Parts: sequence; structure tokens; C-alpha cells
Amino acid sequence: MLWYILKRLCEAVPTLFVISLLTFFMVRLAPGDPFSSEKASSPEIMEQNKIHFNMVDPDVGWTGFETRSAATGLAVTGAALHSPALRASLPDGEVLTHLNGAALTSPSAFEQQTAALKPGTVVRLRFAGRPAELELKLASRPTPLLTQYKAFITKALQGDFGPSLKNPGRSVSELLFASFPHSLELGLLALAFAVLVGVSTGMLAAWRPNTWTDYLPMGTSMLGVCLPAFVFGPILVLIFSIGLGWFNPMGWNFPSDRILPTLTLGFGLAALLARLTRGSLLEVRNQDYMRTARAKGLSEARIMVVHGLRNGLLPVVSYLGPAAAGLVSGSFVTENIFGIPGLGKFFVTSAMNKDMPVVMGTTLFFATLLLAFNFLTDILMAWLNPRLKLE
Amino acid sequence: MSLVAAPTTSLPTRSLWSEAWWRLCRNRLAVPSGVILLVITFLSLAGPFLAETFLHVNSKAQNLALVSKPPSAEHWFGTDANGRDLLARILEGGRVSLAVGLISTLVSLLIGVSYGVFSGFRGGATDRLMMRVVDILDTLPFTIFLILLTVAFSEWPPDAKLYLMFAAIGAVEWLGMARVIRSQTLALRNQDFVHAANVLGRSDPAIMVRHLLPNLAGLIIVYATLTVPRVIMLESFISFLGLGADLSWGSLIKDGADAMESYPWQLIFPSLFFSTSLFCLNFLGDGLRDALDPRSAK
Repeated sequence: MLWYILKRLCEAVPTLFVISLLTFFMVRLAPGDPFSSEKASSPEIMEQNKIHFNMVDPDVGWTGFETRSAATGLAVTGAALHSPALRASLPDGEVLTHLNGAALTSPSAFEQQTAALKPGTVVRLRFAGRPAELELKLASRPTPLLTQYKAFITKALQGDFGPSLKNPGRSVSELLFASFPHSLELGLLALAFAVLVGVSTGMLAAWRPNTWTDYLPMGTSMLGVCLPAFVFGPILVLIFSIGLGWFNPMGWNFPSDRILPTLTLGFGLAALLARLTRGSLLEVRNQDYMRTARAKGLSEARIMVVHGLRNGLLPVVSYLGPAAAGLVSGSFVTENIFGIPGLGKFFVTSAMNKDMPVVMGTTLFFATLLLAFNFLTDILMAWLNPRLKLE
Repeated sequence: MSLVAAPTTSLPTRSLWSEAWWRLCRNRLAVPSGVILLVITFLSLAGPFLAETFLHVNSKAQNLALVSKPPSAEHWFGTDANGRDLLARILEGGRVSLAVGLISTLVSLLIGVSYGVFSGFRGGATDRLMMRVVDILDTLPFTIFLILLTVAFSEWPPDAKLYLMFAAIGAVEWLGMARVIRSQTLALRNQDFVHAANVLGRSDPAIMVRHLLPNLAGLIIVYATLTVPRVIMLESFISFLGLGADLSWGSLIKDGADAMESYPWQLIFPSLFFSTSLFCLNFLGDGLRDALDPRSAK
């Protein structure tokens, strides 16, 4: 058992690594950057933001500078401005004589002058044989993605996902821990609802198959399979909040606010679990050991609960991993419908705003959560069904 | 009474397919579901044209004098918040939702079947490795990736975005298909006809395509039918979050949910079309499974 647990743990590490890599590149390679939508921020502020959020590296050097006033008529664009490279990137036949008004007498003078340059600063260049100066504004060179990723993952491993771009002054971890408890509460409530209702409905349906105690619950569960949370939730609100006025249509303040979201999130899962339970109980019913139990003269209820359930619930338990994934994506919708300040709503908003550190942090958090859930499911399965360990 | 026995006596040499067809036609849920689906598909394809011709409404024309009006003789399903006819919009949105169902399922079919057949046919270490990859992929949070992807390409033109989404959803949904096809292939590849083809000098690709695929067709059809509703649901989920298509059932439901307090019909009608389609697809899929693979039935 210990060996099995260790094996599973070792498999989770590369998976998490792959997830972090995929998310990172998907987020970073997206066209448009998170600051482009911000109003009223000067280019200097955006530049500082990018350095601060590690998108550009102030130490590496700069490529590309814009011409502010091309008095000389020289076309110097898109070249690398790095101490030695500035000379190399000049237009053909031009010799740089002055930098910011100071004469460049020796290579060391040039090094000294350029060492202090920062992105966003303006430099004045004078070339040999030309009277006017060329004024340039330096732009920064983007840090290579791999370097950015390394910096990110090193910090992430220490639990630091950096600051949020859209919530100034707050760190991603802080925001995660502020919103996660709400999602956890909703998720656990929905899971409990789904397991209780789903399994008992499935048992009821399997009790006398192909009678109305089977058709009615199974028909209802088909409803659950076909009505996703984003249809079911609004309809619940329409009936119970707007129509009957029993609950608040939105909010997460009172215990009664928990009921509709729990139903919305849990209904689909309950329906799936009911179908799973019914199917596997019907299969288990005709197994040899069930016949043996019956032959011993045990009551049907005792046979079902003591002998049937342990095997009959295996598919249900093994479904808990995918169920957790379903709950996570269901929470995106449910939290949006009911205005719950949880992680799902937070994730969707951040993704739309391209708040990249938050998206990265949330994705990794969700992924870890799902892996942990899968891991626990596997352990539970191995414990319930020792044959699995041998595989 | 004689209906049940008659076909078997009059048609003693019926093929597997006609027998399956016969079983399907006897299914009390699958047949009406199939009919309703055909109607909805026809309405989505021809509906915008019909609505234009007979009701003189279309999905784009705004009439700001008629904003969010309840159902009436001119606008059967009422109008939306921009004064556009809801019926025409639902029919037009159905095109996108059904197209997703079709195209994404085909994409997932293509990936899943080739992956599954190859893995199962090769067997051994290749199979173990390929299935391990599927297991690992299964633990990835694909819904999250899908959201990230749609956000990442939000600046693309709407058409290109739609195709990207078709492909992305298809690329996510193939794992189950690969598993099912692989295990069936494993069972098939040790059968005599495969050995015979091998002895006759058929190449491996030829055996996979000419001998294995036809034997997997039933399973593929069943699984594809059950994939369609999942795929449609996924697209609508993304659209509901405001990230997907501009006009699909999902985005209509989203608009309706935002306005339901005052204009409930804007939520009810799209939801009705959407859920009915999902219902029918699920029933039809179940019916097909019972018809094509009687052993797996209940």
C-alpha cells in the first residue's frame, strides 16, 4: 500500500509540471498584454509595471528604440541597444561621436555612459559629420519566456505567485485564500448533496428495476444529465426566487443563500451518480457471492447493504475524481449566477482581464486540488478493491 | 404479436446493420428523439430563411421600439434586449451549437479512433505507454485550458475563433473514445480474421483500416452520438461565461439569465431548445447503443 501511494505521488509531480508549463505558455503567448487595456497610464508607468511583473528584464538589455525627433533624418529603428551593440547597430557608415552631449573619446567612456541607461529614458546621439542630434527613447527588450518561466516556477514552488496585476497591492496567494473558502464550502455542500441524493436514488431505482420506482428516479436523473448548471441554476432562480420569493436570487450572506447554489451545482452530479449506482448495483445483484448470501438466508436488505454496496459502489467511488473536475468547472458557472465571491468567479474574471499571475496561480491551485482528489480516489479504490494494487 | 416474429422469419439473412436498424425502430424513446432532432436540425438550417420569408423577422434587424417585448403574433418568442427577434436568433444560434456538436465530435472521433486503434493493435509496451499518456491527460483540467485558450485568442475575428473552438473542444473530448476503441481493438486483434489477413501479407495499416475499422463502426457510432451532447454542453458552457461564440444557445441562455427577472421568456425559450436537443441526443445515443450492442444493454 505504501509503495502504491508513493508511486501515485511520484506521478503527480510531472503532471503538475506539465500543467504549469502549458498554462504559462498559453497565457504568455496570448496576443495583447494585460496593460494595454488600462486607461490613463503613461508609457513610463507601463514600462515600470512590466519590469515589476517580470515580463521584461531590465538587466539583459534593450532592443528596438523609437525615434522621437528624427531631425537628422537617420533611420535607426529596431536595432539592439546594448552597450557594445549600440555601435554595431548603427546605420552603415555612421560613426557615433556624442552620447547625451558628452563626447565619446574611448570605449570605456561609452561603457560608462550606457551602463546607467534604463528603458524609457531618452538619449541624444550625435554622429560624425552631422550637426543635428538624434533623440531616441529606449524601449526594453522582453525577457525570454523560458527565463520568465524559470523565475515564475522557482517562486511558485515557494508558494509565491507574485502580485496581482488588476488588484494593486494584493498578492495572488492572498486573493486565493480570500476566495477559496467560499468555493470549498459550496463544493463540499454540493458533493454531499450529490452523494447522498444520488446514491440513495440509485439504490431505490435498483431495488425493483423496470417498475415505477425505477422509471421515476431514472427519468428525473436524465433531466439532471441534460440540464447543465447554467440552465438549471437560472431556472431555479426564476421559480424559487423571482416566482415564489423564497430565496434571495443572489448573494452569499445567509444560510438560506446556500440552498439554490448547492442544488445547481450538485444536481447534475447527483443524476450521474444515481445512474452509476443503479447500473452497478444491478450488475452486482447477480454475482455468485450475492447468491451465496441469499442462500445463507440473509434478508434482502442486509444482502444489499452489507454485500452489495461495497462492490456496487466501486464505480461511484472511482467517479469521484472526474466529479471533482466537474464541480470545479460547475463552480465557474454557479458562482457567476449567484454572485458568490469564490474562486471560480474569481478565475473567470481574472482570465477575462488577463490578470496573468492570478490565472497562473488559480490554475495551478485547481490542478493541485484535482490531482489531490484523484490521488485520494485512487487510494480509496485500492483500499476498497485490493485487486487494483496488483495491476 | 406477429410483428416481433414476422421479420425474422421473412428475412432470415438480414445483415447486422438492418437488424440494428430494426431494433432501433422498436425503441420507444429513440425514435421520437430522432424525429425531434431532425426537426430541430432542419429548423436551424432552414429556419433563418423560413423566418425571414414567412414571419418577416431575422436575427440581426433591430427594432428599438420593440425592446424586450413578450411573445406576440409577429415575434413568436418575443424580442431580446436589442429589439431583435428571439425566434430567429434561437434558430441561428442553433446552427452554431449543432455545428459544434458535429465538427468537434468529428475531430474527437478522428483523434480518438486513430489513437485507440493504433494503441490496441500494437499492444505491448507501446500500448502501455499510450494508455498511460491518456491517463495523465485525463487528470488535466481541460475546462480551464479551454477557457484560457478562448481568452488568449479573444482578439481573433469571430469566424476564426469559432473554428478554433471547434478544434479545441474536439481535441479535449477524445480521451474516452480512445479508451473504448482501444479495448475493443485489443479484443478484435486476436480474432481469426485478423490473423488470416496477417498471413495473407496485408500490411498493418491495411489491417487496421480495412479489417478493424468496419468492425468498430458500431461502437464508433454509439460513442460519437453520446459525445455530441457533451460537446454541445461544453461549447454552451464557454459561451455562457461570455467567452465563446457571439450567437449560440449558450450565449442566448446567458443573455436570458441576465434579464430573467423582467423578461423570463428570454431565458425560457433558448433553454427549451437547448435542453430538448440534449435530451433527444442522449436518448438517441442510448437507443443506438442498445441497437448496435445488445450485450451492453442494461
